[in-house]
Amino acid sequence: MVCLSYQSQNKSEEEKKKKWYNNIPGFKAWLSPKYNSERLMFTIQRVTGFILVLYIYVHIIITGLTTLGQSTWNYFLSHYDLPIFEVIIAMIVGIHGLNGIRLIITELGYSIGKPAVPEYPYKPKSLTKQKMLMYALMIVAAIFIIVAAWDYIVFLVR
Amino acid sequence: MAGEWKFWFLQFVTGAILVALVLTHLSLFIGNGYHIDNSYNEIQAHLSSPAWAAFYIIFLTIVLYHSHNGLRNILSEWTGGHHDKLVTAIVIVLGVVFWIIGMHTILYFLVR
Repeated sequence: MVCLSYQSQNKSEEEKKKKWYNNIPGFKAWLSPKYNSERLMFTIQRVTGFILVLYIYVHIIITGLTTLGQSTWNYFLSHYDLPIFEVIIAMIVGIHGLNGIRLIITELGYSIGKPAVPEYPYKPKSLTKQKMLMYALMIVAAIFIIVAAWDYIVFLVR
Repeated sequence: MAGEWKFWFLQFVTGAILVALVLTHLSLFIGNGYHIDNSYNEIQAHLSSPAWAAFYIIFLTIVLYHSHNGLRNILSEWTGGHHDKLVTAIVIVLGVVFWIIGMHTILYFLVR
């Protein structure tokens, strides 16, 4: 902050208003390849979250069509009903929710270890013990996706 | 923005609640738990129950809060954090509009 105020002293009012300090990478950092799997999950959490926001809008509007009467609803079902779409959304919800549980566990401080002086192999718990959560997430998410896909296959066969 | 930790904390709290609510909601439709399909009569019978209407009012409110707080984070990143007041206003308007649409749907079958 001291540095910022020192820099801004030498500038006119217009320059102060226009100048944005480019220290916030924004969404460009989402796809940066130089980070680990936790960073990739951050991107996936953002992307799935954005898809789910759009889905919630569609879902609220479509369920709102029921208030227009039975004939409207039946017309909608016969023309625009897409079960595969709902199953894909269920998978996305599973990934978003499971990663959300992982985020709650880690950000409350569990599984990342206590601060300590690094010793020779330099493998902090924040990068080793925390990986167990990531593996658990991948396994449970895979089970969830398989269950959802199986449910859809059963629905198709029936 | 100042006081951002409140939103950060509420995002976790509502997220944890939503895990339970979404699982309840999905169990109605996936896996044929209660044999509810999307026919008009089933939806009418489902939403006519006051207990389920209360469930959906809570669900709608929490899910719209959670999603729009997340949307605010994303939009705040896209704009580099320089238009936070505009982003917050957009997000609140969107949330209120869809909350009204959703409440109309929920209460329509209950009141009728």
